[in-house]
Amino acid sequence: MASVTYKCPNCGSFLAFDPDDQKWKCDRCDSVYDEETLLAKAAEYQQQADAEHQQAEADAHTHAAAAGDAGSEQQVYYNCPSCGSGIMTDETTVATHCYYCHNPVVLQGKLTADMKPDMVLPFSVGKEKAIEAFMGWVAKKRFVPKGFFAREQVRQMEGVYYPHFVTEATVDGSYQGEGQRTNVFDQGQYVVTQTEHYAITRRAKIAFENVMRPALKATDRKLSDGIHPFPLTELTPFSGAYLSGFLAERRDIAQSEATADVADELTGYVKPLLTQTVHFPTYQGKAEGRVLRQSSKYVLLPTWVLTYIKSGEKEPYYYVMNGRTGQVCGKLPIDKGKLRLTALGITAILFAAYCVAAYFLF
Amino acid sequence: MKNIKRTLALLAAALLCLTAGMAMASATATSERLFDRADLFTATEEEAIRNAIADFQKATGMDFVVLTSSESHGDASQQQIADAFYDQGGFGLDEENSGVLYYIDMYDRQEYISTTGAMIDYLTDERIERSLDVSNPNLRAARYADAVQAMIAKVQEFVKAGIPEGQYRYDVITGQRLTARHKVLTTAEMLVGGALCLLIGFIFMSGVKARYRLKGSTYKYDYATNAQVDMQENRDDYLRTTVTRARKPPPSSGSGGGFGGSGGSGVHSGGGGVSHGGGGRGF
Repeated sequence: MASVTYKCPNCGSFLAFDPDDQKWKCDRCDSVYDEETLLAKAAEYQQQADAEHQQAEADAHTHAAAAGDAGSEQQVYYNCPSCGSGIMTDETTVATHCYYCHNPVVLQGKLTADMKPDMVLPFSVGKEKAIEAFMGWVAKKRFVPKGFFAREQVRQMEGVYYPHFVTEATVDGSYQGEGQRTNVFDQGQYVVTQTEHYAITRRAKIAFENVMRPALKATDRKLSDGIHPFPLTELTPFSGAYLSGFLAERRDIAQSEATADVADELTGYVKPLLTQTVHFPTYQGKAEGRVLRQSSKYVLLPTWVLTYIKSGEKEPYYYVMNGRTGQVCGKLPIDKGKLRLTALGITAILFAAYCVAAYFLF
Repeated sequence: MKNIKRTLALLAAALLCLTAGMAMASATATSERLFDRADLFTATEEEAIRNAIADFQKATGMDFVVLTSSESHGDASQQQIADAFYDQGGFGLDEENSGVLYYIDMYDRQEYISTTGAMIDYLTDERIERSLDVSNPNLRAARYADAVQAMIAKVQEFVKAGIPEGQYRYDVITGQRLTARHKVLTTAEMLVGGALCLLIGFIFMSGVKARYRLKGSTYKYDYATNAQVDMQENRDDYLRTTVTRARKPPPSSGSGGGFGGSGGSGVHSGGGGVSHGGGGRGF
């Protein structure tokens, strides 16, 4: 299958996407290339890959038994287009580095047919910024043991494009209920409560957009959830060129599977949305929703990822950062002694305050 | 005639106090606290009472004086005699001369407790009554030493229990409250408060742990900003009106002010301007 490296037309070294100025930079001669040049090149690579894919499909038909199920192997073998060394990746990896020459490699062959993403959100937070943000974030976390994270190890942070499905849907929603408005007044010896009852009817077409679902089974939902939302209005049509210099994963969940629960989730929002226009002091009712139209896009979203393994610690710590907004999330080590001491301090202060309050108030 | 009688009585009281005062001059030196003028105790009983008083002083830091008398004292009340005897005698171990004087008047067959200084707060009216409850049966049975011992023990028990919650001093004549209610944190309050604070500390700790371990951080779809509502039907149709009538509740009568509950320490002023508390009973 095809693997490509975006090469500098000037010196032949490799080009990687630079999030800071949204252009492609050569690591050796410092040449800078804009979208036009690179996207044309990417389109060319894509065409080749598509053609190869079709050829392969045709071959697969003729040698069905011999080819086996090449697509579902756990490990897939490629050759580096620069040095020719073997690149071993797992099935979902679509962009990586060559382990020998460290050139960025885009496994174009894996991005054919329905595996080709519709849209991509290119990184806008560069690696240096991401590292700084991480160090700053950790420094602010009071209960992370001091000096736990070494900058050298943090440098191994990787920019990864994770696959997601972004769904938009139109829901026909309705709400039927009863509202009450009460008026209480005195009448001689009596208190009179007068209640007016109304039938509430609401019906609306609700257009939902930007409903996210991860498209990779292995994605730690907790981690990826922590850095939402992504600015999805800034999505651009997919090109393999954006992957150069980063890691990228390909989806391993079908769209129908990933978005199976979207309809349920959206119909659940019908009630709160429609009752926003209900102004009775008290009301009760039921909402119903029916999905009229639903469509999903397969998109790649930029995430900085750091897996931190410390010797002597049982589990690795994870850290992710939204490659677009800088939003961070992570599983962090805790200085247990410090935490206990702080909790104890809080308890002591509260107790002292309680004693003073109890003494003077009761 | 009456005036003369009163003057005589006061004179007699003053005389008694004077002799007491003189006795005291040596008493403070010898720290004598037992004045058995009525000769109610045997030598061994006296020894036992002195020991009990010494223990009382050590345990409470306050004084305990025992006075007995069998002589007439005219119109002077047990209260006047007891207060004066305590004041003149220079008793008390602290700056307030805190202490209690237990007076057994065999002539009138009365017993009386006079409190001074901090002891006024410890021995509220109610506690004085309870103390007398302990001594009175002994006096009736002519077990005078037992009465004194029981009184010492009871007062010591009250001091050990501390000033009761809600205690205050009031003027016995005007009824005016002189001090704010005494406030204490009971053990139960401390325990509940402590447990509550510990719980909050624990919640804080597990909260931090959960956040660091990424528990409970889930992405919520923001439907308010990501949904466009195109309202097609928006109706509120009138159905009916229901009316309920209820008789007004009678106006609740507020309870008047005043010193509710127990906990008062009645205070009167002796001739020398020193405040005392006290109470007595016949036997």
